[in-house]
Amino acid sequence: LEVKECVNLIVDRLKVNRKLTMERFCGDEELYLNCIRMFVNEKNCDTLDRYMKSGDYKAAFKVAHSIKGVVGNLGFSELYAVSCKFVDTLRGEPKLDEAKVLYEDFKQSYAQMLTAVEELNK
Amino acid sequence: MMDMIEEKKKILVVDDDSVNREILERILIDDYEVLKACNGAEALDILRTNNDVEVILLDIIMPVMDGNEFLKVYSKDTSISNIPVIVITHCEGTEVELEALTNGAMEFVTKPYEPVVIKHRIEHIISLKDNATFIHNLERDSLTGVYNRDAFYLHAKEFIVNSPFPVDIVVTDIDDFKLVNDMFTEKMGDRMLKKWCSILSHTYPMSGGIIGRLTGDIFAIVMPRVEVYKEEYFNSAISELNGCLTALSLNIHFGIYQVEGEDIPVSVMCDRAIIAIRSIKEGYKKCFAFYDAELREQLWKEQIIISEMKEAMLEGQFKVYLQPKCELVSQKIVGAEALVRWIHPIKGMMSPAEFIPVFEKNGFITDLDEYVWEQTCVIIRRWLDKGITVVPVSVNVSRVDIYNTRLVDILCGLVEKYNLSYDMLHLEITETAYTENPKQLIDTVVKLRACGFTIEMDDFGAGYSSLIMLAKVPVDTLKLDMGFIRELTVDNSIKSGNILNFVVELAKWLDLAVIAEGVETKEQLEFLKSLSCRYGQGYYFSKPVPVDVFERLMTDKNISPYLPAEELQQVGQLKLHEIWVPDSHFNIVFNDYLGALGIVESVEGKFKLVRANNYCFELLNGKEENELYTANNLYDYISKEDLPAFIEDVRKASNETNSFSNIYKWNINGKQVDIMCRGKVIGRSEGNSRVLFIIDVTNASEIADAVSKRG
Repeated sequence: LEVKECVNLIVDRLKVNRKLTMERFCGDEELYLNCIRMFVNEKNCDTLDRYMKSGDYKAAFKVAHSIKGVVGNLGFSELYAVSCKFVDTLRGEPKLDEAKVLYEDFKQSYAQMLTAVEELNK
Repeated sequence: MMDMIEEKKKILVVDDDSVNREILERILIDDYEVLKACNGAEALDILRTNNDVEVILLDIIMPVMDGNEFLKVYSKDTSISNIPVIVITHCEGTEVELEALTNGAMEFVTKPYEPVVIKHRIEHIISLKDNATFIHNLERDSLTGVYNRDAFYLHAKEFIVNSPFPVDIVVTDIDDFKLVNDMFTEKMGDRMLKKWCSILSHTYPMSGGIIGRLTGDIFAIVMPRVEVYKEEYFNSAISELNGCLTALSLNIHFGIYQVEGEDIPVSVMCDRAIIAIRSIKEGYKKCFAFYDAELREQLWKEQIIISEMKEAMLEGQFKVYLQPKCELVSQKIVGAEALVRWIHPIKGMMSPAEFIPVFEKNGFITDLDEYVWEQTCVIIRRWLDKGITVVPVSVNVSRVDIYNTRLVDILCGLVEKYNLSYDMLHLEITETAYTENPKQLIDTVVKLRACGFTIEMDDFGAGYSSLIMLAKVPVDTLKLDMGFIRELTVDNSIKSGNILNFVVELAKWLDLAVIAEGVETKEQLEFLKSLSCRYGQGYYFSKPVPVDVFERLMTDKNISPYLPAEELQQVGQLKLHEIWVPDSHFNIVFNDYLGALGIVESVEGKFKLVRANNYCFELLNGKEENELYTANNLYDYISKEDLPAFIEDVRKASNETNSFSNIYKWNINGKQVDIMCRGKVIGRSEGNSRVLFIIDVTNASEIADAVSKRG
């Protein structure tokens, strides 16, 4: 796939505000795609999952916070919105019930994102 | 847009996520050089190796060391705490962000990034910082980083006005700091100043104060008053600096001005602290001084003296007084010393001690000296015109005069102008001048002597007297300091008597005439006579008197010619000066010889012991060395019946035979002992008024006993 097509795909699937996001990357579409791949390869989501399962919510908060920041920058609006809500439940004294529910939403949204990104490699 | 040639400013991006770092780098890379760190600890490392980071972009929530932990360390480290921090956050106003503000963050930007906003904030912060730096640089001393003089005055004033406590201004000054630059390098000097400044900064304004560099090596501190200042309070800082130096030890003084009210400028306060320093600079004893009432009064007096001196000179208020120099035996006048007196129209006669030190400080002494020289020449001229027999008059040549390249011309000019002969004017050069710049002094003295002036070394024994120097510096006369003589009356000290004796003898060996100064009592006179000191000056004879009074003293029968020292001529092989060189061959043999040896001078009807080896001391009663020299006429030891023969033997040897050898009865420790005494002439003056012997003394009675026991 061409760079342009890839960006189109991401923008379309992940509801990215193209103008704002590409401004952030100074119009550098290649860099944008690279950053997406870097983000996926960091596998922060696996780390987050480990902390959630072991109940280390403090650590989980930091990772989730970091993910939130990146997806925000990448312009993944749906995933970003879910991330924000989820991170808030872990801030300070974690609201566990709420967090667990939102974590499921987050995982689902994250999986959708992964699927879209995987399509880029086809 | 940034000029391509100009180096890009550095921005440090601190974020745990590599994607965020990449994005920020992309946003900033066109305008800035981007350094990246993935946590607080790494950021600190980078900051400590790159000293030119302009702005820090900091994520707050990070593993390892988060943003707030970083800020806490950062705000305490003065080497980096002036770099502005922009915190990157998701939304403003949370506790974490508030904490960041209190820890020193200056700005916020939010995630997701808005490039325009980020760039704008960075630019804004840099311009703010540049302005601050500009002001900072205007106020700072570029070498040490503390306030420069003007800024110190400004901030010290604020400090004084706002301080709820009494405040002191402390100024420090390093002695002869120029020498450090001179002896080493300026770089070394700069390093030392920096070190000193940092010692001062962490030692003194601890309780909140301000430090500034006024100029060169002078620093000022304004700080809350210390109730009692002690030497240790300053000495610790001084020793800390000297601890860093191996090759030299610096002397540092502190002056303290205690601020009372705020109505005088800080610059004046600092000047006063510096004045306090000057009051102790001469001595090595005190390292700090206050600007106090006493000092103020002293300065006030000095100011009055300075303001009046020129007029006093024009109006002839400075008068030359003359103090006679006398021959001790006949007490006749052989010369005079010209001394200046200030006859003030209101205060009356002022003591030279009041104004001479002031003139020495401000340089007026040169004018005054020249004035006295000329007045003295006028006096001698008048004596010549009136047909009065002229005695030589000595004038003082101050230390600073020595540095005057025209000195020789001025003095010769005066002698020519008044048509005097050069031997009528003697020049007194104070002994301390000899230690300061010996080379220049020796050169000058050699020139003056070549012109025909007689040079008198003044105050000998007052300062760092060096006997060795006596041999090096060409002088004609030694003026022994009053201190030597005063001590004699205070404790009747044998020791000072001996030193005096030694110096008088040494002077004779070096062909120097000796004038004892400060002779006040009959006892002193008698003692000096017993040492064969020829001349004296002091209140015993006369105080300094106006010229007309002196002229009345100078009747024909009351004056006597001033005779320079008689030179001793060597007789035989022994080089006379070797006697006074401790490790000369002569002294090695003399001291180790297995028998009693002595050096004796036959002079003025006495047979004076000037040196003796240990055996000689033992033989002549085993008493302390001191007493032997003090009562040193060997004629006193010889029994009445044998004395005329002994004297005759010495006389014959002195004038004809050059040696004598005989057995005489001596009284030693109340016993009569047969002494075999042999003497050989080693030096004599013209006309034989002084003849020097080496003698060998043997107890003949002991030998006779030993022989008879052997049978």
